[in-house]
Amino acid sequence: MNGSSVATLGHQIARTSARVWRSDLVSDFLHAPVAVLSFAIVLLYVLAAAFPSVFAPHSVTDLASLDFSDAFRPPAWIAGGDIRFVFGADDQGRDILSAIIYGLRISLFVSFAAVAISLLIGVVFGLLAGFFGGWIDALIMRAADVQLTFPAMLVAVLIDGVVRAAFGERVHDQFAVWILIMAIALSGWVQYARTVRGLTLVESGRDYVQAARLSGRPTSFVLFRHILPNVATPVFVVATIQLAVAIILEATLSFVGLGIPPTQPSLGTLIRVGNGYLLSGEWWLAIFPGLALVILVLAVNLLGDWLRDALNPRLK
Amino acid sequence: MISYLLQRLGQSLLVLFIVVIMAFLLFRFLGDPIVSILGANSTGMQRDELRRQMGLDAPLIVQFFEYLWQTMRGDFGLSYRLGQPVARVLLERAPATIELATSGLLLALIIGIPAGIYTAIRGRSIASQLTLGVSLIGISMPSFFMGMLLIWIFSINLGWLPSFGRGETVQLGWWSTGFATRSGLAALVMPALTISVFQIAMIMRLVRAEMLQVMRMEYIRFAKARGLSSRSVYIHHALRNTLVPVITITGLQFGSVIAFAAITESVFQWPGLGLLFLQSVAAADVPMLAAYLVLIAVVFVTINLLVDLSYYAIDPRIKTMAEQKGPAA
Amino acid sequence: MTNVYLRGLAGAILSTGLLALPIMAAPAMAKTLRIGAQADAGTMDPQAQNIQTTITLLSMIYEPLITRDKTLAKAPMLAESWTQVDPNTWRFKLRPNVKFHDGGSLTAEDVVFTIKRAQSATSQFTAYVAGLQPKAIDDLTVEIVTPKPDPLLIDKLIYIPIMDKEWSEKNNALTPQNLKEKQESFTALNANGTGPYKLTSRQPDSKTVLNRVPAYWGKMDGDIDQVDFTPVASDPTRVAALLSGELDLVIDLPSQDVARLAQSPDIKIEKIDEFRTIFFGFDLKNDTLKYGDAGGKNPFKDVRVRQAINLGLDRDAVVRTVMRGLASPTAQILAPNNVGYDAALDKGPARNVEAAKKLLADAGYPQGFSFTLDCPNDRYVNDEQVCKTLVTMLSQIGLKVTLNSMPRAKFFPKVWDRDTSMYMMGFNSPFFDGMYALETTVMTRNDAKGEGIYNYANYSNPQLDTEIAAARDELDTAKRTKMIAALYKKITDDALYVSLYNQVLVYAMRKNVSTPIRPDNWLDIRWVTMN
Repeated sequence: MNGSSVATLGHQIARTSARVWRSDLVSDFLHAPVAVLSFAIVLLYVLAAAFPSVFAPHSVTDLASLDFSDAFRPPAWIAGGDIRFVFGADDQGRDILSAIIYGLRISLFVSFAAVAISLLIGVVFGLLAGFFGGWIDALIMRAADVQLTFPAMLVAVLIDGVVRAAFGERVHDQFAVWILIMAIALSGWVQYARTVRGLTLVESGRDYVQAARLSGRPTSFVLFRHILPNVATPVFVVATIQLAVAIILEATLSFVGLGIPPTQPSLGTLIRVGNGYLLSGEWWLAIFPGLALVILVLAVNLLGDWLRDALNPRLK
Repeated sequence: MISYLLQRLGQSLLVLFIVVIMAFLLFRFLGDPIVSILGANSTGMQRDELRRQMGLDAPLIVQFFEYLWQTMRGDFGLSYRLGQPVARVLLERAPATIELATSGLLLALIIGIPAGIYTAIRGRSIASQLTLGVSLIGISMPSFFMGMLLIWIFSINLGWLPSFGRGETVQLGWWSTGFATRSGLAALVMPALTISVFQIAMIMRLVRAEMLQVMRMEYIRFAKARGLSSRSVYIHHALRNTLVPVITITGLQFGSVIAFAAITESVFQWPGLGLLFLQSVAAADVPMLAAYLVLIAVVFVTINLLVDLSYYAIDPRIKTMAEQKGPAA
Repeated sequence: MTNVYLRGLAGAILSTGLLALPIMAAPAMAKTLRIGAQADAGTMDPQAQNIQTTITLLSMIYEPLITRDKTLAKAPMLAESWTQVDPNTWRFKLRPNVKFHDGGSLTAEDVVFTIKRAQSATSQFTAYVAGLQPKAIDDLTVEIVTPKPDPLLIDKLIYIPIMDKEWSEKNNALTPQNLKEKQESFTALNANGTGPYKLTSRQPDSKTVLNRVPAYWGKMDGDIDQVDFTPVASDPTRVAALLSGELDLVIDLPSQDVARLAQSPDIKIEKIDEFRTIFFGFDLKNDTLKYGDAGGKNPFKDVRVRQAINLGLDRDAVVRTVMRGLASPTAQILAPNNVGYDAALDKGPARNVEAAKKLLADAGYPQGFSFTLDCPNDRYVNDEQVCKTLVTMLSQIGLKVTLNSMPRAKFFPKVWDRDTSMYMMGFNSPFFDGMYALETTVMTRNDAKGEGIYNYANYSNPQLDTEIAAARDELDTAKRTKMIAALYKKITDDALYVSLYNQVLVYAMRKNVSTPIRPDNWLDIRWVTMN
């Protein structure tokens, strides 16, 4: 893909979203309380993650400020609680609410970045496979088969191992977050590629595409001008659902210890650490990050659901 | 047809070959199998001796071809961790995972299909909205968190269900089944539920979407207009047309349920392939991991191949395209 | 029709629920002890794995020449008696009429075979039997010649359970494992000992069942008929299984769950100070920090930096929060009740952030420096949490620490290669004697002589080496003990290792189980009873 086609792609996405916003989507949205509420929750999460110092009562990045006498302080409404630690404190005396907000920052960053990367890879490969067919199609779809063979967990282990071996521990530690992003991204692109390939197969059989090709239009023009707009809506819906999947995947990988290192905890790492204290009575270490995670994924899923229904012309 | 079949088969074999290469390379980087064999308290001399004995000091490419040759003969070597033939260990663990995955999917079908039908035909009722809401919570709950909560509620607080393992198993030839004993069935409940939650929600939503679509079709409207009862229309026409894609997709899910069962198996200490995989990762048991990967690859590639071939048989459009755009295009 | 479906569904859920209830209510079989541990025994071969879980489980099936009694004093087992003929020669008289589980008789040849087998390359007990020359004098007399006088020979033989020569030969099990020839080890799944229990079934990672041998030669207080050994890797699941009555005894407990278990009316807790010290080591060889940035230098070679870290620790806080009081703070690497132990060395300096910062400044690091701490996360009790706490504490004296926590399969190869700047370590002496730790963690590395094999700090001090060797060869017990104690004082003052605490070992069991608990975490089934 050359520079101009990237520009065309961006242009197309902008046009499509403009079309979406001009439609009655907005008024539909305002009449769907569940969608509004979900959107508000996601927005709140994103804002908190973007400006943790505004939302979090404590800074968790400054280890020197922690006090061990606060370790395992229960939530504020339980005897022994302290209003400074609304949802209690963890084994280091760290405020749980603040830890959740900073953890959210990492979880959301990882998920959004992973979805963006897998979308880019998936859409391009899907377009190429569907449009050109033949050995390109075979190559890409076989690559997809190989990819599907490896559960995300294996992909994470693979990338992790390769980076460690190739660049050494020091580099690995610096890029732990990016390694996780690539692992999740590489396990997700197939969804986009298959969706886009299917739609491209159908679209490229249509008369107007055949006509455009016969009239000597450049291939990239046909791909991005004619086919991409028709696959943009389903891709957008897939992306929303994949965002929820990515958030869960990040949490799961971190939960089994293949994700974010414990010194910069994401939501999954917080739950993993908290899991060890579930039976000993310090349930707040696991339950609050867990709830924060479930609520976030639920809101994203609800939003994705609503979007799919709203954008699906068959249901109108 | 024959050439397409051969071409497709060749591609699948190529995929498997690539998987074998990746499996091998991947786990050369994972960690040192010597630790799992000798333990932490070994001396440098013992370790060097063992490395030499196991051929781990040979060049990587030599190790790979030796591995490839053995794999093709169906010999996956000895597990570093367990000291037993890998193939036999996989065979021993497979029934646990297959029974878990099958029960999970059956549970998903038993709950998902009626729930999907109900939400499709009574779309506006409160119960239907509630069901949809609960299904979304199911999708939004990571399986490890779900498993943790189930153990907390049903094992610790209520004491109803066992928190780990398969209970008593009965040996039927090489197959060990937990279906034949009460403790085996009791042990199955929570893991199967955990594994099925996502599938229930997915099947329910699939059935609902398909039903809604089919019910808009002309022939259904026509049947209704002819005065057939709603029940007969739903069951004989709508449901029948809905079930084909549902069953297909559920079949496709079987492979990924097996592949992703690792988390559930580790939470409930279910002695299947997924737990074996996680334990082998921790112990850097290279032969076991490589064989596991190849096994999963074979399952996926076979399912994909079957689906592709059936599409090819059904949809003539793909056929012409495949012929038009041969390898030369 | 939807109602029909829903009714069926409700029925299905109810019936599974009803099905489950009586199962859980069913009484356990008479005198079956269900033991839960974090990990499975890796093998059924008594020489292939020097890991306490494996040693413990196999000690129910196999028996050594000498054992320890309830007071931990050495006591006869398969050897009725032993004498030291001369400084290098020991003679053992075997117990007559002892049978292996397959019916074979115990003879002197079996002892000779076992010791030679333990000397083979794939044995993990070579260090215990190095250079020994066993000889059968008659059917029931064995003579063992040591290469030089060894006051610990008897202690070492406790770790060498006797195998049957005929059985091993018949089943091609002449060495502990043979991975090179890609042959399955018969002994990975099979066992044939003289002990009170025989192996009935083994499913690795899942369940191992042992049953009482009716014709056992010895008498024992224990009254267990059947042992089910079950590994449950996940901490909360294992504890939950004990609470819900699926296990009778759990030998690997997360410390935070002990208080919760103690509250349960069905559960009993047993504790003892374990012989395991948790401490931290530093790279004491390289001139620049391998993992970290200290302006091209290696600060850990400066004793003031190590002392600053010593001052920056709050041992009491670690013990209180992470370990829940289930550890005792210590500043030395030797646990109580070992030969050479000096209680005075346990007392470390109180935490003093200012003094620590001043020491760092004096050493030339007023702004501190950064480095990576390597930790296992599945080896010691709460290892990762302890390291996290250390990172927080050291950040408060101005050190910027990156925590690299990893599974043991990655951690140990890293420290074996001395590829670390600072690392966590847990150590216990198998012979109740301080010499082992000095020999293996302080002496200059020399793998062939078994010296410095765990000296991951790469420390080398020829002067100290000479002193340790002198103490090792000293045959006068009182003098030797004094020399060992003096050496510990030296390395503790020098902060060669920065020590945190000695672990407290905890077993949790159902109320009807009683078992003694040993400081070396060796569960002796011969003393376990149930009622």
